[in-house]
Amino acid sequence: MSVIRTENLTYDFTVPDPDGETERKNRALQGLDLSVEPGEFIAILGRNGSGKSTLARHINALLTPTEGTVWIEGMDTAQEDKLWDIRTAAGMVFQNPDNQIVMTVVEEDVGFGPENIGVPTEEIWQRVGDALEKVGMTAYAKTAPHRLSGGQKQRVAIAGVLAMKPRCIVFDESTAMLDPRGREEVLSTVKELNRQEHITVLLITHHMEEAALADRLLVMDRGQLVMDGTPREIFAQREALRQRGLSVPPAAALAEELRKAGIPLADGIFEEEELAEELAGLYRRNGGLSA
Amino acid sequence: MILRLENVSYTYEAGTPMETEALKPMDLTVRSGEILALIGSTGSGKSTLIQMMNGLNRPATGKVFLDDQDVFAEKYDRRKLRSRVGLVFQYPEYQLFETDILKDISFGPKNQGLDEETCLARARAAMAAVGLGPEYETRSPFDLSGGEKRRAAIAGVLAMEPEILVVDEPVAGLDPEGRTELLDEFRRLKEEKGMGIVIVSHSMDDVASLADRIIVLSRGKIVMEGTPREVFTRGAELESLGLALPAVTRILLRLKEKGVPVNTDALTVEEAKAEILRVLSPAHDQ
Repeated sequence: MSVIRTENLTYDFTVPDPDGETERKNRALQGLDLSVEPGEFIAILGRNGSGKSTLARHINALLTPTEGTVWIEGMDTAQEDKLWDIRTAAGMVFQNPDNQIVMTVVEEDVGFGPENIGVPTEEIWQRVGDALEKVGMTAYAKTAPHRLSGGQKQRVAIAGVLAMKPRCIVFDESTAMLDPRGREEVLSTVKELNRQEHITVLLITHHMEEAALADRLLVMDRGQLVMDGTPREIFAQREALRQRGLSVPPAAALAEELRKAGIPLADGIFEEEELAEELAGLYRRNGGLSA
Repeated sequence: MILRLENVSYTYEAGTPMETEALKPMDLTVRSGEILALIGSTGSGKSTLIQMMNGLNRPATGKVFLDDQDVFAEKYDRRKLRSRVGLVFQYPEYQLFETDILKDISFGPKNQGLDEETCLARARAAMAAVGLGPEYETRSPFDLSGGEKRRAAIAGVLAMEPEILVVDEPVAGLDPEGRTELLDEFRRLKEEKGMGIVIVSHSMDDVASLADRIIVLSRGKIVMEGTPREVFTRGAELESLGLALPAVTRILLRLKEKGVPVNTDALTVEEAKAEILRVLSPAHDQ
């Protein structure tokens, strides 16, 4: 069974007209069909206002479709009696680390979700301990969240989601406000949860280098799904991405510029190590070592 | 115009057991027509420092001078200071509050005492500068996406036509196209209007291609200062501070490790391309 399935998912925002009396509809999602299988690591790309966050909010039933259907592990998100099961199955981590932490001690914050759904106390502590370990924050269990760095706060937010034992986590630009080390901490945590714990990951990002970590990329534009493929397939289409307000990772951009200048590099290079290795190979083959 | 911070320091909760020294005494100057980047990990003091630049934070020691006038002197008009040194906060949603975008963006100029027509003209010009078309004028700031809110917040400050623009993570949450456009706009404001720009950013790639000068902060102290080329040759130190190198610099370092004799000081895709071609081409032609 798919973790996430959408059929003709359509969503309209209602916006008041300037006169303040009438309303008009703004279509944010238009007939989206999508299946996500257990254990996938998917990055979602798209320009501002393309519908990424609106899609994310449908996955844990913060929004329900205007038309069409969303199923999370087979549960229709429009069924209100399934709400807590859906939010347990699909967790969400947002952008601003300061808006997601509610308690004054890290371990209490992580235990807040399970406590809310009535998990027995003993099991809560078990879950909190496990979750903090998985994000590498065990040493900070008794710390006040405001003493943590941005990356550490985001890892606590992730632990809070993990304590709910989700099968799927949506990261909505969760690294956008972090410094390089914080970003690296969060991304390696995300990778580990996907590889080790087999948690399905949907990573919404404007950073093409982050998207390169995923197995599959989805590109959205004007509320529609317009591209779907591996990073290698998608990042080879620089012009198509540019037209949708996107770009490619720096390694792919550099590779393409070099190709244009006559350096025989293979298509689809997008990783830094890969590009360096290819170039070093060319250098050696061309007798560079004796030059 | 010159903004000069002299021996400034800042302490949170001074006189209590929670007292923390957020900034150790430091000197810093910002000039018209330059782009200065402030980089440093979370908690290094960047936000505290920039809020001193427009008079929001009063330094514990030291003085802030705008064109040699002490901005914390008793009779100094600090309200006027805030339109001359415009500050855009890290979380733009905290500075949007009007019922529609056009009103929100004209609030600053209105506060400066300008007439209605001028206010609207400035607001529209500022919207165009950040890539918000006329269709946004009547929309509520609260219905916007994260990236659109950020653009609106920047436009609100630009509409005051500040002489120095201070922006905290201006491109976080913007799509790549919006990011490129906004950074180009900063370059244009510098070149054409002679605006001084202070940018706080975690993106080493952006800083490398944009800044004339970089200041690196760590634990409330200035630990490095120089041109991007000077700062980004100190990769190991930057990493120990929780920072990083621009992507193309990293690629060249990898190449060098593999025995290719490249210079590793390129900061942009264009520079890296030129350097790689220089090293590969003679051999390539054989």
